[in-house]
Amino acid sequence: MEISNKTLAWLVVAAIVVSVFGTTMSLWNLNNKESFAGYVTLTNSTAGATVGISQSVILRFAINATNFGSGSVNSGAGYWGCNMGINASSTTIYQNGCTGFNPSGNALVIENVGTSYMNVTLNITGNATTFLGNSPSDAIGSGAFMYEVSDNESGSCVGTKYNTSWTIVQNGTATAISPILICSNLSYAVSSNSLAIGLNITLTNNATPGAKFVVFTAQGTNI
Amino acid sequence: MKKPNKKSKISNIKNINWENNKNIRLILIFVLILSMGVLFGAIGYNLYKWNEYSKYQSRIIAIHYVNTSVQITSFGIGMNGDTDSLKFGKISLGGGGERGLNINSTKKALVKVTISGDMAQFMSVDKNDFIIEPNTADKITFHIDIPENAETGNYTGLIQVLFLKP
Repeated sequence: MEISNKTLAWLVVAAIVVSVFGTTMSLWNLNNKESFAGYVTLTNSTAGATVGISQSVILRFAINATNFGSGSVNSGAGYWGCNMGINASSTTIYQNGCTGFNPSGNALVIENVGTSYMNVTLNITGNATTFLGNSPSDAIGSGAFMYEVSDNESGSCVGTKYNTSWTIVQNGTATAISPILICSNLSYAVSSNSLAIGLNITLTNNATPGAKFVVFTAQGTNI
Repeated sequence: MKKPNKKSKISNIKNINWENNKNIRLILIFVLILSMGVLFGAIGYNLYKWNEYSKYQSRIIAIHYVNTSVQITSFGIGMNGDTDSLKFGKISLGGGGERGLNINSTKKALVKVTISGDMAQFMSVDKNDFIIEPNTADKITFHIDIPENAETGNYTGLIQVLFLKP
């Protein structure tokens, strides 16, 4: 039996409709399956494996949070060193031996914004030699890099607070200084949950010129 | 020679013998074959993908989803050790941090980690697509780095940890 052109035309129309519908449904179906991370549905299926969240968090300060600007030791006026910084009360320290620097801003602030008490350690990536470039033979008290810890809000550290007066960042190699415990129990109460870290540096006139860079990292662990 | 007007063109089309025109028949057959080809191609591709999807689904041992969040501020840091989700707390512009997930599996598994949401742009993971041996524990550490030019505010994300049969 020979099919007429008219019948053929109807067949073509039907084929196009079926083809367009089928292709659209097919692509829509695939798109739905591939929408999240490669074929995986959003149903939690936890049998056979567990995932737990660690109770500690490590955070790094922005380095320019305390910016001392640029300058030098005022050797021309007979000074051997320049002492400057921002103490834990956010008061600027700026001695006569400095020229050009502009220490400003606030002490570094560490808060406990969780719902558990935490102990807090501090990790500093350099000491006076590796951070400032003071001569390694400089005696402590000449070239120095120090920090102090204080409650930023009264009653924040309800455990033992360490290094509450200027403490020299330990002399060592260029590798990271070991974590230093600064508060054994930092409260999470909204009005008393933060520590302040003051910084104090003494540059000597033999310090190597150039940009100086050190990283402060705080680690808090639930207790 | 006289140029045919629009009316005469229409009457010419009307005069074509649709039923017996071989050229029209060939065109119709060609379009019919093309349509069927497209349809069968789509069905074949769908079957191929469905097969791939089914194989993938059958490999899944477990899937875990963990919410993550951070508040980007202009100054200071705020640590959050809560364990109901992977909270980074407060991080200032230019700062960063890290936090971990402890995992274990009763079966040998290939672990795949994906991060989605607006926090994904700041986050990375220390290892991915790795094997965990049966009844062993491992740790996945997530790093976050906030650029100096990020917008301050609250960001969230979703971490998917997928355990697959290797």
